[in-house]
Amino acid sequence: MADDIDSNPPDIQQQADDRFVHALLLHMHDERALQYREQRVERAMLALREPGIATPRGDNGSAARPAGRSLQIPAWARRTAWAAAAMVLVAACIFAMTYSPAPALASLSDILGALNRPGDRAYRITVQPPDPPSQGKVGLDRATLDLRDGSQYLLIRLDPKGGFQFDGYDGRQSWRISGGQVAETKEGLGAGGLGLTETMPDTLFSDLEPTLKQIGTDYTIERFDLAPLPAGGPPLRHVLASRKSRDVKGPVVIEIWADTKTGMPRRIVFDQAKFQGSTLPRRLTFDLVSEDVMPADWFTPAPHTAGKIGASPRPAR
Amino acid sequence: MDDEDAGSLTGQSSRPIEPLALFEVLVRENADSLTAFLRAGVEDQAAVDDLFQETMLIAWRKIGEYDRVRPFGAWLRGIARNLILAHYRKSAREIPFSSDQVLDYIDGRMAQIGRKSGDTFDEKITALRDCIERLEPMYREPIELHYGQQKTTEWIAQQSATTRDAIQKRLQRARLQLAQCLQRKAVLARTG
Repeated sequence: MADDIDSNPPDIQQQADDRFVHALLLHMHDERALQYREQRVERAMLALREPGIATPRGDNGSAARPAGRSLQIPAWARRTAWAAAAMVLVAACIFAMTYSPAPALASLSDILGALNRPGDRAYRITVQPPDPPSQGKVGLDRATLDLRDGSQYLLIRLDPKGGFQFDGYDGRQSWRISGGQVAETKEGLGAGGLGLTETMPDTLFSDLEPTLKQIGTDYTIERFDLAPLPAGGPPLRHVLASRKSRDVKGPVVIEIWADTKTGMPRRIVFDQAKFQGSTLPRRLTFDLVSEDVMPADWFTPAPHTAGKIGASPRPAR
Repeated sequence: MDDEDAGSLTGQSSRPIEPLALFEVLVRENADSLTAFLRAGVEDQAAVDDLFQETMLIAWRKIGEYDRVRPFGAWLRGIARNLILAHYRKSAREIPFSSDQVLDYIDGRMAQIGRKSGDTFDEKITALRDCIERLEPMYREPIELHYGQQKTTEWIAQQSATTRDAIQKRLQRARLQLAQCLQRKAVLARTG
């Protein structure tokens, strides 16, 4: 409801009462208030329980941390894979293409290099607010995205009907497993439509090259500095870019935190992104949760079909 | 427990309570009022979620500074207030109200709500429903359409054969009438 309060009463008390009652009305009419409250609390407590993230200070220790947007963890990527992998790189490339000062470009080049470096990475995806379960769609909230080198990916999503849906690409063929069965395989990318085009904002992530060109002209770097994750921790390379106008399709704000030494993105946030079929802006957060080596065949269908030992969402970490 | 209840961070039972678990209880009890406070200060829902979590993180870090004599909800709002102002500074967006005092005043309103009887935030603001019912139709209908059915002011204006600006003004007058109604019902303190 961005069009709620476009003008203010002249009197300060009236302004306050206007905004105060507005907030009460929003709460009173929010049928999912309880659900959202629980999500907010759980999300906050989850962050607080992360080791080393937030430690209470006994007395007057200042908790000074720049106030700002999002709060959660990091992100990742893969270049050649169509949607899922594209998402990761898109965010990083945005900054390389839009920020002109040389130090920033050099640093962002490191980030891109890190994303393409051989190795395995796993990212957890959070969508806020998530799709209501009643819609029965396979969404992205609580999904994980596993990436290998610059050429393989595995997206694991919760299936509202039970179990998981797997979308993968092993560098040769893409595939989908749904209901424990291989639903589709395809040489190259695109098996199952990958589903991401159903849920990702408009066309931003579905076609890498035009997207990058578009972002290069349509986003502005607002911050490039060292900053910890909102939950705390050591300083990270931090980039915040905002959409230049409402005419641009894609999230309003994109924010990246990356390791200062390796350049590996720890978190990427797509903020105020609109999904296809929904007018409600969402925030997608990609958090780096692991760089452990995954099994050799992890990006093929075999470990994920029903009855196979590896059918669980991921190896124990 | 009252929303503004300070609670105890040490626990009174013989079995020690994990501080973080107790913190979670206090957070949960004050989550609705904190969210309402953030919504009053920030219109972007994503920013509300962010600021909520940041408030929690800072509160936990600074829990040693918390004065147990003060209501916990008020303490959280104090943190949230600073984060709201920092949010606007950081994003270079224009603060949508004329003075920081507006937030202080809203904080006072939230404290008044917190002192009302009721176990939950919803129970404390039940009087608002009656106030809505008492609005004249020309004010009640846009409120019900906009907040109850999530219709945009543009949509309401088209249906009413009027302008969006007129609907926004009508909504604003309706909200101020609701505030006055809550004052008459002694839910809120009267203003000069």
